[in-house]
Parts: sequence; structure tokens; C-alpha cells
Amino acid sequence: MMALDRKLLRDLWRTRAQVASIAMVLAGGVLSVVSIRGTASSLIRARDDYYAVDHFAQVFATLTRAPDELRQRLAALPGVAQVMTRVVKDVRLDIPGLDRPGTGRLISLPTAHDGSERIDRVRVLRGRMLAPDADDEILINGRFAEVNGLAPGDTLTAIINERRSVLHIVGIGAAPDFLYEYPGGGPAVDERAFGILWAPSTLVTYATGMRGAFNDVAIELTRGAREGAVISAVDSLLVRYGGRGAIGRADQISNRVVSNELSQLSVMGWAFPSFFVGVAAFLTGTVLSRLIATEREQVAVLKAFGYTDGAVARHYLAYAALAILLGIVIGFGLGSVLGRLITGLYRTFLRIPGLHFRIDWPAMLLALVVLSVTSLSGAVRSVLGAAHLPPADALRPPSPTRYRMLMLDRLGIGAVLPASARMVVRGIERRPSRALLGAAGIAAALAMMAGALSLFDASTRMIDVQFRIGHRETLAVQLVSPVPVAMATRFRSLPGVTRVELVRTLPVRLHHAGRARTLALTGLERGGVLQRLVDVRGATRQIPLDGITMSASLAQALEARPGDTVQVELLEQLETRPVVVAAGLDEMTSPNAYMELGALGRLTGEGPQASGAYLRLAGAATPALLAGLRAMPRVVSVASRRAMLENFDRMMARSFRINTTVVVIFATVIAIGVVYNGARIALSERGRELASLRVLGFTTREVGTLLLGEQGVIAALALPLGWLLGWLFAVYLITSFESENYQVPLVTRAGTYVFASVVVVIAASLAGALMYRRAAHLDLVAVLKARE
Amino acid sequence: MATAIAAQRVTPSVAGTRGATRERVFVARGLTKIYHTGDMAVEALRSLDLDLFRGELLVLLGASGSGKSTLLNILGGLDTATGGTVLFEEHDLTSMTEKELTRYRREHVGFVFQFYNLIPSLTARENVALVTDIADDPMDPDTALSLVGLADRVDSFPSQLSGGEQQRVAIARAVAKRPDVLLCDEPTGALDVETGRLVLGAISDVNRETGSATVLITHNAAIAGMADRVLRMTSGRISEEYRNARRISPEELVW
Repeated sequence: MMALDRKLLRDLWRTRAQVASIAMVLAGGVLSVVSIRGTASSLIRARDDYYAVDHFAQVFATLTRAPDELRQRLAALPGVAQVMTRVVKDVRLDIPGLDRPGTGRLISLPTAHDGSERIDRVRVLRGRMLAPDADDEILINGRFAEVNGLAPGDTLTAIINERRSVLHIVGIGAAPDFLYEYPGGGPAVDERAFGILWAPSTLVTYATGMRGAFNDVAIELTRGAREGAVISAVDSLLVRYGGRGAIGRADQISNRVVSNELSQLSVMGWAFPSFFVGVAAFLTGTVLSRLIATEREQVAVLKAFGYTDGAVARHYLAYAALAILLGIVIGFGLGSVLGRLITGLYRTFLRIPGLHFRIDWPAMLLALVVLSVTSLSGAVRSVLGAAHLPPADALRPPSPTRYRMLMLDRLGIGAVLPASARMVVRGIERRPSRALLGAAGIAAALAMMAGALSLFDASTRMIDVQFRIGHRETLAVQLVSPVPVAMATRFRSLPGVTRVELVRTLPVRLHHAGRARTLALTGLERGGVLQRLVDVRGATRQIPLDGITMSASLAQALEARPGDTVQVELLEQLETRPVVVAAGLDEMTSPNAYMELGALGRLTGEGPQASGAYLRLAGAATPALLAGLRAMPRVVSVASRRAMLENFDRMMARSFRINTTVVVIFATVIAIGVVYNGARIALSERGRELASLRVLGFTTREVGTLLLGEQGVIAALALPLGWLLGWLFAVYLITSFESENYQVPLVTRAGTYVFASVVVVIAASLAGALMYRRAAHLDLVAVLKARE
Repeated sequence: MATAIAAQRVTPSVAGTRGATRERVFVARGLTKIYHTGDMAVEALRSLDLDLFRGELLVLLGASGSGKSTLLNILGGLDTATGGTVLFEEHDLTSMTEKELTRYRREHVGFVFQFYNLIPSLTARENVALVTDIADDPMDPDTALSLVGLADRVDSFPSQLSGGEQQRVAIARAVAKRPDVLLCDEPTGALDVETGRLVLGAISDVNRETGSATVLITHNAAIAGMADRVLRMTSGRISEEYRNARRISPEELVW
């Protein structure tokens, strides 16, 4: 080993604390790319693979009833490759251990064997497939099985045709159209009370009385087919059979939830690592450059001995490269572990078969190039500067750094400050760019936390507005089919019910200005308090007695303004009627349209009807009440708002904990890295100055204050900058999550910003404390002899 | 500049009459210092005895490695002895904690370094104020700077001062707190002859003015003439000691 190599290793060991802090920050950058970017791309890839392998359909349609023969005509439509038809029906379940009635979505397994049975294929994850001739066997979805402790071999009781039927669970299934098992209508799934039941078609046709007919269609398109054209063709074919309007993948409910989640993760997957890599690159660049700048004398000695500029440059570049390499290796190792953990957590929420953690190599490569180039370029600048210096110049003691009377002095404030404060202020004023970069680094750490955590504030706000202000019922009851309002008043006589409000939803297609949108039209009671119209700011609105009220984004899409007349195509009645737009409503989620219950009855010509009811109870649901509900055969589901909210809060809290932990760790690493290195450099540049003061009788504390004063001022400057950057980051994240159907409110909560600031201040203090200990052990005797 | 110093010199001194009171500032007995470097033990001081009197100017001569810096460091509370005792006005330096040593330096000792060690971000006046801010009964920084002939450079930063001027600021900084002891380690080591004389003149003046017991380390024997007493050190021992019949003015020194 050459002497120079030995020096390299010893230098690395001697400066190990600093090498470690460079490596740590760099490792953070690499770690974020490996873990977050990797999780995002793994999930997206797993979903895409799963959709491809199990033939997730591209066009979906539901209808009232159509004969099986229609399948051939659907298959013959241009652009259609395969058509799968089936029968889907929600039935009431008695779930062991659950007091309220549950809902089972009974889905018939296709009987055709022409390749179409592969569409939205049901995979058996555990247990076995249904026996060909069995008519009481079912597969259930995994989450429903888990939360209710159900397994193959267990039974479930369903109310089918007003009779109790015992169903035998033979396996746990999964299908791409129910990747997220969400029935719609609430903030989260009432997991215990909603299950997917895949059943033989004999059973389902018996339950629905649909022998030789279907009410659900899934279509696979030919390559290059236009989705819109197929949807129109399917609609015109199904219109006679009560078609509810075909939709593409984008509107399929499970896919919409999954896509939303993944696109948010994807945004985070880019925003976070970019942020982190940027800070890491800047930090390692400057730290390496300053570290090498302090080696001036050694460079001179090496050159005096006859080492070439090139050899000297190589020596220091190798030092930088090894520090960088160390960071990359650590980041890679930890990132893989963290990535597996985060992916594992997503698996509990999105059960994508075949999901496993993979590193996003293109992103990784990009990050490595950015990190290496920026870090090394900082080192190169210093190395070249030092190598070009004539040895004699480098050996001479550097002349006192030039200081001037600065702004502070000119303003006359200088005179009132103690000398130590003047040292701090002049130090900052002399190198404003260094101070600014330091402040920017700390601010970035703060901003990252504040921005990311603001998303949780936004989600919480959304749920508050929709399900705590908009909805205030205890139970939401859904009926098999609409009944006249007079019949629905039976709910009032149930024990414990203090208020009943009726609701009617029906599938419609709204037409205006040559545009159309398919959605559920909701009929509400005027003066209702259990379900209210609420805008994005949380303000409630009274439903007008006449006309239709719709989401602002829907009105915009239809180019409809209040006073305009839109055509309402009633999909169940095959009729189209005009209605005047009463108002637009700026909502968080859309598209929605609302009418007063009576006005809706006039529009349909059926008179006021209810398809469901919101109940407010005096206390918790009593067994007597639930028994009463169970005794009503038309009741298909009873959802507890509190159960859904609790489930949502639980999911949110878990996600919040994970994300908070991750951002806090990242931000702490950045803040410690910035402050520790800033103080370390200051100590190496001014160690002699500080040791002289110790000799002159300054205490360790006084010298420590001088050393850390500058970092303290920089950190103080960083706070407001961080708040601003954090707010901008939150705005960016929220804007990138917005879509036509989804409006995220920007919530700026003081608590979030205070929390982020406290984390940063603690991290900075920790780094300061580490440096303080070093400052306490300055070599005083050395000051009297050697110069630096 | 020379006139400014000369002007200072005509002022008759009060307390500084050569060892008039004979009051002992330091009493060192049997002082030893052993450095362990690896397996080697180096005896830097070998059972050394020393008395230093108030107002006295002592020049400590010796080759490098003779132990003179070690002695100065121990007297200044920067280093601790391996054996023996050092009494500073009845207080034993050898038994002081790090905190007590800091206080000792803060209240009683003035240091002048070979390389000035000024704070580059502070002006001459502010460098002096740095010390007077934490001292009990200090001089006004401007007074201290006039004492070394820099009354007109108080607002200059170190980078705007010559080496000699920087060293005189350092002297002003050392004496501004009216220290009982002034310790100077090779104060002219980095200066040319002419500037060196000015600096030594300043040290000699403040010694007379303030009555601080002054120890000046040098390997330049020519400087010995300005001392009241001269000690030569060899291998950790005092090998020679003599008193000058009269202190030669630094201006007359030749080297």
C-alpha cells in the first residue's frame, strides 16, 4: 500500500464523524429513492401486471335485466374483444358476532367457456374453487374473511328471497374488479359488514329470479379500440334493458380508489426523493468542498514533496468518492428494508396478488448520477483550487480573513451588541450565501415535514366536512328497491329512533350542450339535518324546492349554469325529462346531483319514493332496533356511520404514524446533517480563534455559544423560510392530487407547522450539542505554538 | 508611531520599579512534567524551582525543547504539572480543576501569542473589548490601545493592520484586564527586527505601567538585555540565572 493510500484511510478514520454525517445525508437521499419510489413503482407494476394477467375489463355496465342472447350482440360490437355477463345482487347477511345486518354482494361466476370467463377472473387464494355442481358454495374476499374470522369450512347465513339460506365457504377469492372492496357511499368500507360472495350462477339466478338473464357486463376491448365509441354502442344496446350507463376503467369504483391512492403515492414517490436528493446533493457538495479547503496545508506539503497536481487531486477525490460510496451502500441497504416494510403495509390495504417490493432502477440510476455528480463537483472545485496553489503560498499562514464594517455597523446597531454577537453577525454577513444555503437546507427539512403532514390535515378535513358536517345519521339503511314515502315511515316506529330522513337515489344521465355525464341523482328531504348539502368550506346549503343542484365541476363539464335546462335521462325508466338547474355546489367530491324528494317524485312521475333512510338514534343501536331492522325483508344493508368513521380514523392513524415516522427521520437526518456540518466546518476554520479565546479566559460555554451562535441564527432564519416552503410544497402536492372528481382543500394547521419546527429545532440542537462537546476539548497549548 | 511609543515611555512608572516590593506572584517548587508519547516518556521539566515577583520582567531563554514553553503553559494554567507545586498568590495551580483554571486565566493572566491570534471579524477595539467585557476592573479598550501606540487604529480590522500592529493589538488585549501576570510566547517570532523592537517596547512599557509580572519567552539571546532577570533553560532545568544591572530600552537592542 502506497503511503498516500494509507493517508487516505487514516484521513477517513480521523474525520469519521464528518464522513459519517455526509454518508448519512447521502444515504437518506438514496434511501428515499429506493424505498418510496420503489414502493410506488412496485405497487403500480403489480397492479398493472395483475390487471393484465387476470383480465381486468375495460368497459363495465350494469342494467336491470337482459336476456343471455344479448351477449352475442354485445360481443359483435366493433372494438369489443370479449364480453362477460353475470348477475350481481346485494343480499342481507347475518354475520356471526355482528349485531347489525351485513351486506353480501352476490356475484355469479360465469358459466361460458369461450375465453370470456377469464375476464375479471376470480383467483382462489386459499381453499378451493366451487365444485361444478354445488349450489350452496361460495368464495369470499380476504379482508371480509379476516375481520370476521371466517375461513374455508365456515358457513354464512344470507337472506335470499326472504328466506334464510346457509352458504358454505370453500375458499378465499380475489378478482381485479374488487381489488378494493368498496361498496361506495362512505368514507371507508364498513369492513365487517360488507363482503363479496362469488357464487355459482344457479344460486344467484335463484336469488334474483334471473334465469337466462344477466344484469352486469364486463367487456375487454380489442387493441386500438376507442373506449368512448364502445361505451356509446353498449349504452344504445342496453338502453332498452335498463342500462345504467356503461363506464370505462377510470370510473370503475375499485379501480378509481386504487388509482387515486397510487397516483398520490406516485406523486410522493417523485416529490420526496427529489426533495431529499436535492438537499443531499447540495449538502455533500458543500461539505466536501469545505472539508478539502481546510486541508490546504497538507496539499502544499504533498506538492512540496513533488506529488503532481493530478496525484493530489486524485487523492482527495478518492476521499470524497469513498464517503459518497459509503452513503450509497448504507442508503441502499436501509432503503431496501424500509421499502419492504412500506410495501408490506400497503399490502394490508391493497391486496394485489403478486405484490412484492422492487427497486425502481431507472429512478435509482438517475438519483445516483445526480448525487455523485453534484457531490463530486463540490469536491473537485476545492481540490483544483488547492492543487493549483503554489506550495509556498499554501504553507504560509493564511492572512487574516478580510472583514469590513457591515450593514449592522452602518446602521449603528453594532455598537449596542456585545463583541460575541458582533462576531456572529459579521460571520454571517461576510458569507451570506453560505448562511443562506445552510438556512435553505434546514428550511427544506422543515418544509418536507410540514408539506407532507398537511396532506393528512387535508384528508381529515375532507372527511370532517363530508361525514361529520354533511352526514349526521347514526345508521344508514338501504332498501332492495324504492318504496313510496308513506311506507318508509315505518322506520319511525322502531325503538330508539328519534329522527328519520328519507333518501332516494337513482341512476341518471344528464345531457346539456351536447355533453353527457352518468351519475346517481340523490333525492333529499328539505330541512333535513341528517344528510345536508355541504360545500368545500364546510358551509351547509338548503336543497331548493324545485330544480336540480349539482357539483360545480359537473355543471362546468356540462356547461350548465343556474337557470339552464338540462335533460335528465332516467336510466331505469328509459325516459328523458327536462329540469332546470337551480344551483351549483362547490364540493370536494363529484359528480353529484341533488333534488328535493318531492320534486324528484314529480320528475319521475312516481310520486315521492325512498330507496333508503337515515336514522338518528337516542343512543347506541339496541338489539331490539336491530332485530326490528332485520325483520324488514326490504332492508338490504344497515351501515353504521360511526363504524365507518372509526375504520377510516384507524386507517388514517396508521398511515399517519408510518408517514410521520418516515418524514421525521428524513427531516432529522437533513437538519442534523446541515447543522452538524456547518458547525464542524466553522470549528475547523475557527478552531484556533476559539482556542485563543479559551486561553484568554473564556469559558467552554462562552466559546460554545460563539461557535453555535451562527448556526443558531441560521436555524432561526430557516424557520420562517421553512414555513413558506412547506406551505408551497403543500400547495404543490394538493394541486397534483386534484382531478375533476376530487377537490382537496388546502388546510394550513398551526399545529402541523409547530410540530415540524419543533422536530427541526430538536435535531439542530442535537447536532449543536455534539459539536459543543468537541468545542469543549479544544487543544489550548497547540494554539500557542503551531499555526493551522 | 515610534514617537507615540516614546511619548508613552516618558511617563514615569509607579508600581513598575524593578521588583521594588519583592512580592512573590509565583512560587514553583520541584516542578516536573513528563510527556508520554507512545512508549517514550519525555521529561520536559525536571524538578524546577522558580520565584516570580510582582512588576518583574523575566526573559526565559532556551533552545527548542528546553522546556520553556512547558513552563509558561503551566504558569498560564494551560497545562498541569506531573509533580511539584506552583503557588499563585497562595493558590495551588496544580490542584485546580479545569473550571478553576479557566477562571484563573480570565482574572489574572494576560497572554501574547507568537501569531497574534486576533479575531479577524472584530476591529482592534472590539478585540480588546472581547476581554474587557468579561474582566472585573478592566481598562478602557481605547486606553489599552493608546498604551501600545494604536490610538488611531482602533477601528481597523486585523486584515488592515501590519504584523507588528496586530501584535500590539494582542498586547493591548492581554493587558487591558490589568492582569497580575503577562505571559508572552515568542512575541517577536513572526516579526522583522524593526517591528520586533516596537513590540518589545510596548511589552516593556506595559510592564512598567501596570506592574504585571511579565514572562517573555524567546530563543533570541539579544532580547535578554531588556529584562530585570534572565533565566536560561536547558533540558528541563534552569541552567543559568542572572540579573541585569539595568534594563536596556528595547530600542537599543541589537540582533
